[in-house]
Amino acid sequence: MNNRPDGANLLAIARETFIEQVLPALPERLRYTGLMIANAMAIARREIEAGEVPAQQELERLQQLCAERLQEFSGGALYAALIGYNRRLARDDPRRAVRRARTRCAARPSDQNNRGQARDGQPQGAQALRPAGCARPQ
Amino acid sequence: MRRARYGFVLCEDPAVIGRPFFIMERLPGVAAGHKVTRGSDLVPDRARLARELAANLARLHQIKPPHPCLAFLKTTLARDNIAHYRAYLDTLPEPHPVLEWALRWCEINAAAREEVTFIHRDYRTGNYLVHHGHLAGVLDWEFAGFGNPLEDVGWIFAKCWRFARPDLPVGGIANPGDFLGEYERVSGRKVTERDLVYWQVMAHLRWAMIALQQTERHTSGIEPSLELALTGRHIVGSLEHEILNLTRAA
Repeated sequence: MNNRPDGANLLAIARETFIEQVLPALPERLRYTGLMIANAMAIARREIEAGEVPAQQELERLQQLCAERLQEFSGGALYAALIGYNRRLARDDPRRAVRRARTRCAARPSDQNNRGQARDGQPQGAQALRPAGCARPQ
Repeated sequence: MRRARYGFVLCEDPAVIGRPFFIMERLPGVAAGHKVTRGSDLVPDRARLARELAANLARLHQIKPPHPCLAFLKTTLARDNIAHYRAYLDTLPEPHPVLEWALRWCEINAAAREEVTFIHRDYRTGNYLVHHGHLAGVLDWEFAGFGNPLEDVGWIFAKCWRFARPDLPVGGIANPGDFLGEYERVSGRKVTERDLVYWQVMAHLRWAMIALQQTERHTSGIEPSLELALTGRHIVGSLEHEILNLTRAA
């Protein structure tokens, strides 16, 4: 085994190094990208360190909300249980979910014309949400 | 009236720069949301800017269908939005109970009748230019259509667009009174507290749909992008949180 320092620690020191040594040296046009990288690393580190705790907390609350006795789950079963409860709250028919999954696997859109990146929160490229007939953003 | 940038030319020949493009009038000013909401040097009189934003929006809302130049625009009202967003959620593999809750809440609380005017549909901080502390231009008209003018009011009030000043309800710029007084004076339209809550919920729903779609572009592999990935992690949860806050008292 050769996993010391662990993933979370590695991310923490990589992010710190990036912020102290790389970010200040980036040209202005890359500053936003650099900040996003640092942000993503912080999120990933927190997620590793939190482990299953947030999911367990969510499960407990969902079980209370659905007036069910507290059952323990971990690993894949934990996340499957969370999906199940959320689906129940969303009144989602599991048969429809299966049909959707099949449709999505069969038809991955090759949507290369519709490049729309969010910048400053702009809702660009939201083709599925445009009222029909509106001009496409270019 | 502060103008939209005047478009002189639309060129659809890809041979020129590789894609269709506009040539437009250049207007001076700063649009960036964080800059506009942060600096008092850019906006020395926030209440005045809020009044200018309100008056401009009110004037936009004076355009009513049918209009000879705008026949190509569609009309979408609250129920159309709800149906549209619900259909979109149905295409996603994972459940979103808070968003389903918000859709049902909007359905139950929808007004029996809605006024229909021209609406900008992205009238918010980040989409207008500030120059010498004044409103210098309004940008990004590609979502415009006919709809409920209150939708535009809810959008500019929505918490998601307040940037550096989440404590200032009107676009991170000003307090409600500064905007609403002028909007009501110019438009003759009263905006109730109930209207504000309803259309802020709708605004958060709409942005959540867009954020989900952007996240999906990344996770599906269509457009791997750090920015889109972070959208997924950050935005939907905070929108859901605000939706729950807004709908709690109602």
